[in-house]
Amino acid sequence: MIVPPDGLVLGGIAPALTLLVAAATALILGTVRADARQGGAVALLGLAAAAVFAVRNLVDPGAHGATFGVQWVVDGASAGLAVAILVGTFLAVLLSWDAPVARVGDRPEFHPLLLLAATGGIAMVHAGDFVVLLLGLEILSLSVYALSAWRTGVREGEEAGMKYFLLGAFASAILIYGVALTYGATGAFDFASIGAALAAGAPGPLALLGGAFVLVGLGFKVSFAPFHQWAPDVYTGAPTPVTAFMSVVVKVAAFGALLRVASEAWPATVPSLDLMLAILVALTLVVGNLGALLQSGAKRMLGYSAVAHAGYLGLAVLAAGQGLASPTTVVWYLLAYTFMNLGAFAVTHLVMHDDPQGDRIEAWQGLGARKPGLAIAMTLFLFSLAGFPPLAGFFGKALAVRAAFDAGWSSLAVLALLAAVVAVVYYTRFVFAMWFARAPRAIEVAPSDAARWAVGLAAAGTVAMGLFPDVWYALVEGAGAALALVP
Amino acid sequence: MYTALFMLFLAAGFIGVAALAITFVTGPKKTPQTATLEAYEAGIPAAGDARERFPIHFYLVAMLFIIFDLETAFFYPLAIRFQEAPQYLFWNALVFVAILGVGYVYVLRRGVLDWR
Repeated sequence: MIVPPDGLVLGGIAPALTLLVAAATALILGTVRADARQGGAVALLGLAAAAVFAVRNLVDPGAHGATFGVQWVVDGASAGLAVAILVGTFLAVLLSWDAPVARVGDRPEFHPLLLLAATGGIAMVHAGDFVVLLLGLEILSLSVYALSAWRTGVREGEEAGMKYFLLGAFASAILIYGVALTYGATGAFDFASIGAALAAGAPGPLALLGGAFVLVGLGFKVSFAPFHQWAPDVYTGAPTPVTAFMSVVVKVAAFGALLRVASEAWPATVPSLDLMLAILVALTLVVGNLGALLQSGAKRMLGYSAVAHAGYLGLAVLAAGQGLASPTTVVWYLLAYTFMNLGAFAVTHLVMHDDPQGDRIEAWQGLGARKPGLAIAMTLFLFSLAGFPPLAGFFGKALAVRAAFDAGWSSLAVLALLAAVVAVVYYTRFVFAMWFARAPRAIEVAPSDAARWAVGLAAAGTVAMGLFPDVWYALVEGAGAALALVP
Repeated sequence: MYTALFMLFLAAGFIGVAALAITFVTGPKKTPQTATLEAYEAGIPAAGDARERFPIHFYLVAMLFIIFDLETAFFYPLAIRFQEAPQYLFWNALVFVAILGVGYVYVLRRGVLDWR
């Protein structure tokens, strides 16, 4: 008997619906008149409208709850992550406004693909069961595969697309296998029932293997070591606005999904799953930070830095998944990460203007003297990524480490602190190059006011989240909550 | 419960092996003629290599066929259970068709179905 699900709340899925409509509109309009400005305008309007719905879901407790059965969950964390995805996509559209990727005349698919990827991401962070999670993941991934291969005819571009597609498809298959095994062990797709079934008795090898496969599949998407190999290559080969987009939106979506799986489907009575996650986090912290030390190009360095940040986010997910820290820690970090990482890629995009070698450290020399505005912004982003107070990244890392201490993972927390010291080295190398090295040549940056707006907005976000960390924390956590680093 | 299924597998395996074994025992033992080695022994002689490049239109049309074929395949179960929740299923189907329609308009306007 088919019955319409009770309490179908369209407000919950309104952000995703809005983006879907915007993507369809941009797609059809793009076939009538291939004009990047028009596609970008539709995208910005759609994102702004979706953000209104997402913010309403965030601030209005009446909008919280599950809809479509238990498949679509709206709460502070999921609505907050949806806002982060929308902010990241908005900035990426601004960044690509004048970029050649969006301007290619016979390819109007750029903006629709961005919007569809964001739709998939929003579905992932709202997922209440594995079916919606997988659907969202595939929508997101397939769009991003196409976007990462956007530079056809360039060897690095095609390599990036192929690598990401093959490895990503493989990871998706492992994830689906894990979901199937989990279903076989528990007889459920939704996280709450899986959690209850696993907590009821000692889980067998089937359930553990399923959990491990799910962890591997999502670990690929968030670039946990040792599944991180694709990240630096794909980040380098994809067009920089796309790199900026995927480095934040894919990460927010996949961590959102991992957070929900870890906190609802993996009960505290099954410590082996947490242990697996902890091992991955430790590896990621080491590999990401040591790998970043060795890079001479900004995009590769930021690629490894993204791996390193996945380690910190993993710490927060680990603690939140055990119920020993608030999920808000993860959500807060991810919005901060959206601002600072997208900002860093935005400046890189302006400085390297489509020259594959243009992001080498030599290209940054003397930027401070020639283009002080951009250099100040980049310094802000890099210092924030390194975790200097009072910028957003400091609170992100501090919250993650604090959460790890609270949850009793002291050794991991100490490792994270040590890694943060190493991180200072590779970020400040670029800052030194910008301010203290003599410029070998006149520096020309790509002329794009929209991209400058993206840099400015990201910088404003990075500083504002650092100066007023409580505001965003209270929005996600619920009214009256305050961020506390010291117990 | 699964005895019948097991018997079926057994029978299928037996027939497969028996067919090969009988041909091997009773069949003529000659070196094969040239025509025996052709892909289509009694058909048009094969010309050229199978590994050549086809226009991408074939693949695109094949993919479009699968998508719209699946669309109709989805509608059969929907039609059978339609009376159980007419309004809900109607809107569901409409949204589904609308999304496919957007894709169809896109494909049409991008010239996928133009054979030049």
